[in-house]
Amino acid sequence: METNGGPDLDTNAADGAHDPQAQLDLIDEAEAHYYDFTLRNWKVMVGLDGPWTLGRLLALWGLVLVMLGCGVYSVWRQTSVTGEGSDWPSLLVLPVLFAAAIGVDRLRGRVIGVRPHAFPPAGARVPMLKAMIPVMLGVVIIVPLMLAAADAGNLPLALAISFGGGVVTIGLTAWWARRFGPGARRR
Amino acid sequence: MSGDVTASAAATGDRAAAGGDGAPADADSTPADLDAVIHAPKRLYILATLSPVAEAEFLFLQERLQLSASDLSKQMTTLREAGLVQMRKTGAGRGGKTWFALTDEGHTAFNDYRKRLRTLLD
Repeated sequence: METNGGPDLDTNAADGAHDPQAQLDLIDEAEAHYYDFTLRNWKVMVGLDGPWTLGRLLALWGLVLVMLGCGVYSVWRQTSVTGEGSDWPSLLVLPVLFAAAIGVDRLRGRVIGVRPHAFPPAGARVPMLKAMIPVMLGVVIIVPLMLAAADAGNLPLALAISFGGGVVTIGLTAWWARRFGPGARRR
Repeated sequence: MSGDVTASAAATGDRAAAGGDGAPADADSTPADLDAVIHAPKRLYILATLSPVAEAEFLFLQERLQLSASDLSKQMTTLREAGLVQMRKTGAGRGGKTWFALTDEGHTAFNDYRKRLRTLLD
């Protein structure tokens, strides 16, 4: 179906005659491109694809800095304030939520700082609700793990989960979209 | 392979006559039940591209389909007149963009079309 980088759409429809299997293949090919949106968004997010711009640098490294800042602040708060039942672990939730917001934005195809039409994600957006499902799933899994590690006094583990939580969330989002997303093969 | 499908209403462009009224696909589907507007490969590809996304921009669709602007515009007009696609414009001048999205009727008609194709193959 693919010719010169584009689909073969030259068949004259006026006679109305088409192979139903070919028609279904055409649909699959169009929907399969949804994978490319998601995968490329993910690659752009982690810096593996797309042009580098100030917006992207801020999006990527701003996320890292916020996570690191929250982690450092949490450690400082625990060691300097100490206190039974302190609520410092809740601070670790912030970077994960921040990452979740970024993940949603990535899936919706709004790549920060990338010129429109530079590549497909800038030209198509995925419905917000569908994009949020896997992200929220990631948050539900990661946050309890993080809080459990913090409550157990395992700071390195809590920080590692906090720091890696955003990456895991976005990775889970990309995997979900590929496996269960609206473009998944249904046959 | 069950052979070629003929959309009998293709020549007239009559969606209702072609079964594109959103009626559910059933085991008695015949080739004539296929929606003539959707049946054309270009329009089918457009609908399939729009189906999983909230909306897509004109240049993005043009790049994906490798069509001229006039040809794509003509196809989108046909889809809009059939009530399958809606359009909105953002910005103005060189920065202006034209976005397309499937209408509820478009989603229904596209899903029904696909069901009918599968029914034909079963």
